[in-house]
Amino acid sequence: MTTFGTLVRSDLGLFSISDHLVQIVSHHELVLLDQAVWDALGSESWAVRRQVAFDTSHRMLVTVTKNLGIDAPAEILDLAQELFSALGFGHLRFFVNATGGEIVGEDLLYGAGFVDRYGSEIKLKHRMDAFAAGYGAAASSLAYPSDWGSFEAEETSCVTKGDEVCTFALSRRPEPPHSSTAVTRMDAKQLAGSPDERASQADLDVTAQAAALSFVLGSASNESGVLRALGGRLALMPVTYRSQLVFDTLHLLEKRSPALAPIFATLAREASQASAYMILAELGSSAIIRENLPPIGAPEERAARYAGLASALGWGTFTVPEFVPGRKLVLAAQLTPEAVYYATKHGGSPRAEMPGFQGIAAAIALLSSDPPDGPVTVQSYAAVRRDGPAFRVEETRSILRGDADCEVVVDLLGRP
Amino acid sequence: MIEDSATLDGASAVPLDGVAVGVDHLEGMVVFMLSPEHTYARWSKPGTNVATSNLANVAREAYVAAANASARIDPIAHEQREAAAKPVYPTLLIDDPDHLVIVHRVRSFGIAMVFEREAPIGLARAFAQKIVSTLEHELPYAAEAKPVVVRNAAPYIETIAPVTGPSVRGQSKPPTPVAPPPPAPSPTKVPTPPPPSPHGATEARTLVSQVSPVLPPRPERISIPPMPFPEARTTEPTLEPPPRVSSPPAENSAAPAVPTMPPAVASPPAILSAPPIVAPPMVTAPPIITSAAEPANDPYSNGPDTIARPRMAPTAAEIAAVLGEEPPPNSTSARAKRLLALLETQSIEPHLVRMRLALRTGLGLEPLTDVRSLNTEAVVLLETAAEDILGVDHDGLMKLLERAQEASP
Repeated sequence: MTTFGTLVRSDLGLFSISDHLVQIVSHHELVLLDQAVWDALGSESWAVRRQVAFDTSHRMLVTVTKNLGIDAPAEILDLAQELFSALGFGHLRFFVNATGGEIVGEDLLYGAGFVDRYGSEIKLKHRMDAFAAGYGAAASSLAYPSDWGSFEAEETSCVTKGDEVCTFALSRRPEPPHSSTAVTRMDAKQLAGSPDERASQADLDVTAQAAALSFVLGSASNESGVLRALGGRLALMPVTYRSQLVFDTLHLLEKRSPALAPIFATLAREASQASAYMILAELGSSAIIRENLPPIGAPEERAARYAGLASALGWGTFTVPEFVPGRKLVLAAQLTPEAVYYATKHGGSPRAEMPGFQGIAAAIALLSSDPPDGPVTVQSYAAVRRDGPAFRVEETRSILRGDADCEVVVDLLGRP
Repeated sequence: MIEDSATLDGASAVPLDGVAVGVDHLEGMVVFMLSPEHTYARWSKPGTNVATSNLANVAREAYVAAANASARIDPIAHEQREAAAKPVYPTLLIDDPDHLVIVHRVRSFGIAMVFEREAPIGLARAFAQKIVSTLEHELPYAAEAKPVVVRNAAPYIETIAPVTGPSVRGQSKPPTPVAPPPPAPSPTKVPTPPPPSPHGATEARTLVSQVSPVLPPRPERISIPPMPFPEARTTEPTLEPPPRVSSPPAENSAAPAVPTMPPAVASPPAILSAPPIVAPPMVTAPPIITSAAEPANDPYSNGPDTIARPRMAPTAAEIAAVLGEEPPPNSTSARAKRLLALLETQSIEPHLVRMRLALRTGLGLEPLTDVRSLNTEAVVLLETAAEDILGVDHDGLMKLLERAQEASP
């Protein structure tokens, strides 16, 4: 059993594996984000997601296999299989040789996560497990490199369509142009600057962060590659995959249908918000937090507590400079995974927005103003969104715009 | 193949100028018959290079092919669409590097609209839908004619080629017997058969006329003596404008005949027994049709090609909106409303439903806020998106809607 702590390194509130940035995600976020991309791009989304997954996985696997000195095909595939499970993505079995083959996936984060969230009644018409397809193809291409090109995986069966397992058929294709962007720990350090230049983190609830960090880093997926915790399936997702998917889709929409881009940005924010709400609510009420931290007194402490918990998930280090219960919350962070990705790939931009960061801020604002009584489910979260306060989110400061840190203001507008 | 075919019935063709007024980016428009291959009316924006003379043939072939493909994608759904009280036909969009061409079907007619490439696709589709809604009221109904069977263009041409002696392709084959046309509704209104035309083009038109299905007469109108050479209502310059003859009064039905009928088919008894509108397009000089009550006021009789823009008929939902009432249950907006209600009830993320629909359909959020602005095409888009979101097929969605309606008070 490989715990997350043995896989990742934590620095600046961000996680990395072999220097590649990763972050904690739940299947709720991934399924919602996947849907938003599918809604935005239609059938084109499969190719986009799979290619991003291939590029991300290939870079990470190259680094990991080099670090471990592994070069035999069978060993590479074993390592890929083990890493995939350890990260919480499910279980892959490779039946591959130099000419192609098949990959069988069980309990995959996307497919099984979709069934967990929506039940088996809903049968999807599109293919779901683009990440597994890209990852499997990347591992196979690394194991059996060829001048004739790399492997490409097509999902031939999927649990979201009612099949028992997900299967992927591999075939070799001419090498597509790959993105050279890899978001690493060094990029984050460079963006943050020297310790003297960094914004103050005096308001950080370090005790909450430390307690949550010990919980997260002590967690491990089971033999099936599944980690069920904090209200969902958890995994360590490469930052590049999630961010590239969000920003590439956003940029495509801005180019093709500018009126639809804000809708996608809202859906991407909602994906992060729903996931953060459930994870933080569950983490806040978990035994490890209740046993190691004093009960919350003033509402302001609650906001700082949730910000501290959020700082233990590889999402950045968060503080709450201002909180007016039921009215307003200001959330600040030195760095976020999205900021590092965007700065590395696109540079600074006065228009750049970070839907993930905004979603976390909105989730903390909702939780701090009206903490849930019991366990949070998909239905109870939907009720919060239906009956809870409306809000407005604004990114007032951003490291991508030249500020020293990032800041989001959430104005709660009252109940509908 | 008929090149640059003229309007079937110049007097009955719709004045497209009026329809095209105020439609941004529209470069040309052709109304054609799906079977037989024939241009019914056409219009092109002055100064554009769109060859509307050839557009009907091109659009017809493309539409027939696309409709056949569409029918094979989901045969069951296709049959249901065809069997519906108001059949829903596929729409063809040709995204050409220089133009956007949208082809709709209205009963037995095709309507091809050519837009500038700069036109946003959504805007072009909306305009096209509006034009189609207008023309739907203007185009004649097939009264007793067989329903049009959309079939592959090439075999169809092959079928009609050997029908009448010297064909347009130069083939010489014995004529195929033609089913005798039904008796004329009123002997006094029968147009005099025209004599044969010396022009090859007229012969070519004759070929089509012999295998043409019965053309739909307007039931409430009667016919008066024919015009010699009906022409397309077009603003395009014509090299050799055909002579126009003023229409005689309705009583003077025994007006001199105009020669157009070729000898191969000019069998006087058969022609005399033919009903006025059954006469083949272009060749037999179909009669000017006009209202029996107001024969002198018909703007189509011999007036200008361009008349006032036809009134866009308001939909039931629009009327309800003006009156501040709930839309009727079968209206488009009511369908959209029920659909949204169903999705918001069924979905475990009701707060995301409208955003997902807006993104998935490309309609944006505004039309979903006020469903009265949605047209039929938009509702079809919404239904397709709803099927994807709920993971059901069309039947499944309809069942869910029925159940929801039964459950609602």
